[in-house]
Amino acid sequence: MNKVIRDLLSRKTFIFSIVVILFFAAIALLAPVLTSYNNPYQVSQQFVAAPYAVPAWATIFPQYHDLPPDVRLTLTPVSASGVTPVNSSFVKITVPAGGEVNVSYPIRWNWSSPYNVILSFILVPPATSDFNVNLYMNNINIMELSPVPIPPAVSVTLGKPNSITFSSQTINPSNSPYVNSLPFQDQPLASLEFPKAVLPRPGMYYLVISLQNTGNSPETFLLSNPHYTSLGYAYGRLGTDDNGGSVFSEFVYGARFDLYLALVASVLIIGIGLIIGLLAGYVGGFTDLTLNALTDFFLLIPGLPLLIVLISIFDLTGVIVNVNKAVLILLIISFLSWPGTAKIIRGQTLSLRSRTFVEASRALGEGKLRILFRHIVPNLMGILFAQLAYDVPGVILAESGLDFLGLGIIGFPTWGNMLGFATNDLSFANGFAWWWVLPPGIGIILLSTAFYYFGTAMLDVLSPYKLRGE
Amino acid sequence: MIEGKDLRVYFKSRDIVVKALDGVNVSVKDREIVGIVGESGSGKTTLGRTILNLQKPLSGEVLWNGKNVFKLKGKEEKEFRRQNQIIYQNPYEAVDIRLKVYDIVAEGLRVHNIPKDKEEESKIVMETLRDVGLTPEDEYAKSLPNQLSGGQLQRVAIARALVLNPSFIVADEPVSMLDMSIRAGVLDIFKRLRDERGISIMMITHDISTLGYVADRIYVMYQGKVIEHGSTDAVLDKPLHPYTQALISAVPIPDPSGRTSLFSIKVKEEMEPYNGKGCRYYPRCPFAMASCREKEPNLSGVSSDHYVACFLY
Repeated sequence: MNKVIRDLLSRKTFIFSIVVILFFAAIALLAPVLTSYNNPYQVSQQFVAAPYAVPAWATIFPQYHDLPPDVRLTLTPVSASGVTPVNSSFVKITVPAGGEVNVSYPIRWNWSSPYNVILSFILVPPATSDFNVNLYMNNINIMELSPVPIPPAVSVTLGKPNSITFSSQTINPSNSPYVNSLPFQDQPLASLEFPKAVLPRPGMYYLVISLQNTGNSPETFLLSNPHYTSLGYAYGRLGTDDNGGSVFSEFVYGARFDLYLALVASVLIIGIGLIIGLLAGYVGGFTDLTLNALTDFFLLIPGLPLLIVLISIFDLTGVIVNVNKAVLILLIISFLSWPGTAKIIRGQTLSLRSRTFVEASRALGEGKLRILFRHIVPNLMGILFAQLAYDVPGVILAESGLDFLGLGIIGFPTWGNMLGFATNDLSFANGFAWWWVLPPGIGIILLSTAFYYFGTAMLDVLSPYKLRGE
Repeated sequence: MIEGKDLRVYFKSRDIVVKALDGVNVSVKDREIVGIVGESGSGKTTLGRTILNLQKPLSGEVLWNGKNVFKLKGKEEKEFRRQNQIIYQNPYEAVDIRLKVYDIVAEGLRVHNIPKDKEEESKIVMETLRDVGLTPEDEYAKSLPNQLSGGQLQRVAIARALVLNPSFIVADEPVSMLDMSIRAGVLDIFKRLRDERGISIMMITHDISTLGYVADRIYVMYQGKVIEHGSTDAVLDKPLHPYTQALISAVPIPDPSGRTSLFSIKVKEEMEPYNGKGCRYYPRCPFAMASCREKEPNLSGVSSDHYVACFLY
């Protein structure tokens, strides 16, 4: 056995295949550790960054250099008269009668504009209704809070804590003075324009919360330190897709599913092929004739079209209810793919059956089953391994093809449907989303090549002819 | 003890029927080495395989201690398999090359559940390896077939047959793949088996000189028929059938100048195809007569231990 391993390790292609297969196997097994998003196709797991965000490491390239990451800040005010800290997160502001106090929060911004801007804070206004609160960012009036809400002002409850959230994605003429100030035709695009207006380029920006007292007595405001959040255009290891879902998570879980499906389907294919091939080859006669005819029948069916038709029928008409689509695809692929394996095993069994050593075993008094399992099946091992390795890429390709066409799995990521979704959205504007297309594409190619090399090496090393030194 | 009666085996390949055995009678007695000699395609190997029920005949029967071997079932069949072994021409083909020598030899023991435990199995295997001259047996037991030479591997094949302590062995050209220098060694094993263990052997070969060395009786076969048989001395000293004479005169001898004085046999070029009813040998026979063309001769005894199928006698 040592000789076999030595022989395998002396092949560069085998080393390559083992490294690649182990790499993908590790990714597949460690998926839950590697990423916290197990299905980026679910709405709740989308928008982890801006759509088409490039991978974080891609910012080393000049064209992506200024792209912002996801930013999460808690802003702290510049100290000013009338502003006194209550505790680490609240400040108390006393505004004199008829006066105005501006609380400034500096934001150090090192990037180009983000995808969106979200600000949230808690405001406890005085119990009187004689006040006005305005939010400015980069000297643009973005929000107005008033006890008497005349649009675009937003109402606040008097004397009670108000949770205020400003989101650039929900601004409209009735809740933001900024939108109101835009020309009418630009208003629908306000949420896209907003980040560019308030954070146009790297620099120092200020969020100013302006508290106005329109009454006759001093008023006291409590204000929590605002939280600033924005989604960036550079995210994670492999960026995001069109919905802002993590491509890395998709890739990892895609690898997991593809490997799982390929292995289970290959084992099924080998199982069916081995049983039919052995029966046909070893029993011979009428059994051989029948099984061979059956194999030929399945062999001549055009696989992919039938696969498409079957899946469409089962899926659309709901003939089989409560069956997982992945299981359905797995079964259909397996039942359409075994004939090649069966033919090869039958041929090899026929050849082995007529070898002298099999007759010698018969002469020793061995029964048919003992000969089958002790001499024929072990001598088929090389071919079985090779067949297993050749079937894996076949299954991956078939399944990916289906997913690519949108006929297979769409509920969770697979390499095939990643490519399928990506092709719908590639354009010059998003740089053809190379971070989204390349990983599954390269993954399919690498894995197929690796399994092919693995199979070839196994066939070469394990087949008995090599042992004999021929 | 084992006897083939009127065995017929025909192989069909599309329209052509090849009569590998066409009414052959052979018998092998206890403690006897019987030689089967003939050219390629004369049906020798088929005869050996049929005798051991590895090939079903079209008709005829093989009697083993009076029982028809084709009808043996269960325990009796197993016992028949244990007592009757075969050794093949090409040892590389005849063993499963994935297995170690030890496993190859022990296979039969395991099939028949002979040893009580691993220790006994190991003892029997090692003893047998020593018997066939594979020493040091520990090292040979651990090696793989591809590490052995043809002669060593043939000894392994012989050991595999011997380990079951058989009473009859078919040896199908056991030395034809071997070097001249080791042939005698392997042949001596067979002689020793007969003398020490009383094993009967059917030795199949195309080399009649080999039989002169080991055999007690000889059957000469030609195209599926036995054309001459008798004791080795009788057949070799006084070959009667023209084909037997041709076989003997084809044996290379150190000084060929005296050969013509032995026999002056010339084999004719085959002038016409066999017509299907006469003697099989007449197209090549230098003594062919008109009657040879019309009718096949039957085996008839010229003496108590010498039979020939030829109209000349």
